[in-house]
Amino acid sequence: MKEITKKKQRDTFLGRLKANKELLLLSTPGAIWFFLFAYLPLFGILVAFKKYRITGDGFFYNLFTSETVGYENFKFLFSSGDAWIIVRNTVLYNAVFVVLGVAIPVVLALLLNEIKNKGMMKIYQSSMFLPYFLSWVVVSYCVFAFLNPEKGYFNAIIQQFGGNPVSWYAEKSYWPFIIIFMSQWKGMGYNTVVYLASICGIDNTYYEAAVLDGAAKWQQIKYITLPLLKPVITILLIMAVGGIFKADFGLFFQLPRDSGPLYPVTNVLDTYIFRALKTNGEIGMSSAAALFQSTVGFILIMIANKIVSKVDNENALF
Amino acid sequence: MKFGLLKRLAAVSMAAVMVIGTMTGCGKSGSEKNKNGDEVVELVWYQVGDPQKDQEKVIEKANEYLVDKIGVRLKVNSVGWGDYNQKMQVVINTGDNWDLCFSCSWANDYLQNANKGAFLVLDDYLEKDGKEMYESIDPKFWEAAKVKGKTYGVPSEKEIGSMPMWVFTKEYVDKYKIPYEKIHTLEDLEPWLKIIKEKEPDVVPMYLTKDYTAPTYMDKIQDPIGIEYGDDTLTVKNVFETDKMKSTLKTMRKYYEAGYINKDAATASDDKAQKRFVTKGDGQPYAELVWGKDLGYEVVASPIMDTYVTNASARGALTAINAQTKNPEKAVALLNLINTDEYLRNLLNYGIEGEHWEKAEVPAEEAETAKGKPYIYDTKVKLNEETRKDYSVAYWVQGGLFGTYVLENEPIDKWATFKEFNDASEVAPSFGFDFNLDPVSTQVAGFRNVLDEFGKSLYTGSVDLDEYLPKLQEKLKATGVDEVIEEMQKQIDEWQKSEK
Repeated sequence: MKEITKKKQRDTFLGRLKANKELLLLSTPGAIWFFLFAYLPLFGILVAFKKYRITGDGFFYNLFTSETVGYENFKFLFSSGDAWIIVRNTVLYNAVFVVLGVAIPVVLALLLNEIKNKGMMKIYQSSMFLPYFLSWVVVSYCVFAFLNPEKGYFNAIIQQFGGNPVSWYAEKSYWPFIIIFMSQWKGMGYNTVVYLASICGIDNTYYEAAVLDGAAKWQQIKYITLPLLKPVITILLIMAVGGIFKADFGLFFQLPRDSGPLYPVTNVLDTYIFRALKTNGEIGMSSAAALFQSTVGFILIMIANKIVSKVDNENALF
Repeated sequence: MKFGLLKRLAAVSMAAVMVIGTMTGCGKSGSEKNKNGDEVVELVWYQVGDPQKDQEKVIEKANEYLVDKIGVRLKVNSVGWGDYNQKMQVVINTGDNWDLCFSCSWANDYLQNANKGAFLVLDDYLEKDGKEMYESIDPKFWEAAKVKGKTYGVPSEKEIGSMPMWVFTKEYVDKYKIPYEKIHTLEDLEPWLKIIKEKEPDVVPMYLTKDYTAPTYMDKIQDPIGIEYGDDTLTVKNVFETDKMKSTLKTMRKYYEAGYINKDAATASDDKAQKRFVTKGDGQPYAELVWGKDLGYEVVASPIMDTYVTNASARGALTAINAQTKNPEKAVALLNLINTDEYLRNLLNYGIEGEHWEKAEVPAEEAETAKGKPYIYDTKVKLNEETRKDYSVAYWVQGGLFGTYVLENEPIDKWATFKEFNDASEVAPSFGFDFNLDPVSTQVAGFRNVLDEFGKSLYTGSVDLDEYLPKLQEKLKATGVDEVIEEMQKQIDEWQKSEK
């Protein structure tokens, strides 16, 4: 009898609140933040379907009195003849980033983990982490020091060996490589730390048992570390897939110094949107662009999650 | 005990609400009265330019004067050059608290904000609170400030036309005895570029940066389309289709291949340490003094073409008032005072006398020759070398230039010369026409990408013309340039009819 009342109590709303009070309390600040800054502004999506005009006092009043134009604001995204190139660039670069963003950091984390001298390991780790904190503007100037067509290091070296100087910022063929290289150089430290942290969390007894059974280093990695890393890898992968329609603006805008001849390989959705809307101030169009990116990202996350849950239900996000 | 958690939850959310309340709530102070018994109101003014160290001090000083004079307490928000455009879009679109803001044709776009309904229509106020400044500022500026017959901003009186100039480093002009005053067109430069290239290996003969636009003989109403200067038939054209631009680009390419132009021109930002013979600048009378000061060596300049007045050039700087402001009369009165009051104008412009600047004597001889001219003051300004960097604002952001004292190294009749220049400037045939881009906003949004992709490289001659110019045309066509030309032609025909 007592058991039943207790159970009943747990099923009521207040009862459940009480049962989980510590967890609820912990999550409250985050929940409030999300509510205020992520859910509350959601109705702003309306702006994407409006021709926003200022007719009275306050944003809300203007929003509701502005003319509704349906999908008109989305048209500019596909109006240019370059729409295909831009989508291709965005998706392909991000696909490469997703793959390399897993492969390189995992390998680095495994290598770092094997370093016995912990002091040296910290130094390697920190120096790999450092670029992550630099802004693309700063990085773009460092790269410019190498690639400057007249005074850059690279051209100086090429000329030293009797070659012809390359005008780097006008030759598009080098840029897919430069962009991928720089993005990995800047981002790998961060992801490495994430994987390294999960590797450190793996119980040492597994390895001890493996060593007793005579497993070599490679076998330990293959049969212990990687399988135990799989959940983290899957989660980060699903999240990264969701961002496949969003490009890192600094990488594609600052790094190539906004150089025109490079657009065929550097123009991505974010830079296209920025250039199209930087002067006209139509917030309807910018909202439309953001909504489009988010919607595609959302769909992709759902698909990726579905696939993962089909293959390996335990590692799916939800 | 049971409700302990709920209470705590409530407390946390209350705290959150309170924090947010203090963040958004703008504490309105109780009404303050000045010595005449008028109510004192606070006006928030957004200005373009980097925030200055001594700004508060200067504004405080100005407020001492303003409170008693017109019952206004001013609050200036300076937003850096790079951020201003974006910041203002947010401030204006979200209905933030502001009363006045800087607007123009090149940042925080005047025309679009006026069309959007963000700015207050000033015409009625100009007859009362703004009467003095309305009468003192050149009617041409007021004409340019009109959008569909209504005035939305107070223009800062300065040079009215755009005056592209070649800027020569004086050292080389003297050394090779170059008759720079006779050099006007792009083609005129060639023999001298050749000499510099041969004799001065350290010097870039023609130094260009990514902001460079080849000499354009057209009012680009909506880049890249507009009306050519002197075309009274008002035929809308794509600038890259005009013969003049085609031959200009050909010459640029020739210069680039001859090595007259720096190789990184299409992406470069101005590197002041780079020695150069000639570059292009947007001039005004006595601009060489300003440039020379900036560069640290003397330069001379020569105009590339006749000066034309276009909507864009005459809307170089305006101050607009929020359509939703609670104190429109006071805001107009403030602008009126700034544009007509010698003390206030110079205080805001140069800072506090005795701290940031001192009065400097006008040489008697100079004063004599300037007699009878307009805008002559009996003092010049000597900036304090130590403190000038603590308060250095763009002179045309707050008001007209003609109410300010000239600097020590400038002629006392500088503003009189400006006035003559403005009167002599020719009005472009398209002056007064505003393009309503609503019907073609999708197409226009696509232009910027195409222009950024090809424009800089073509203007600086960095890429092969025969290959890239057709590519540019093709992409503009795909984006819908023809529809925009058609729409603009339609609007301009209507405008022409209504004008006559």
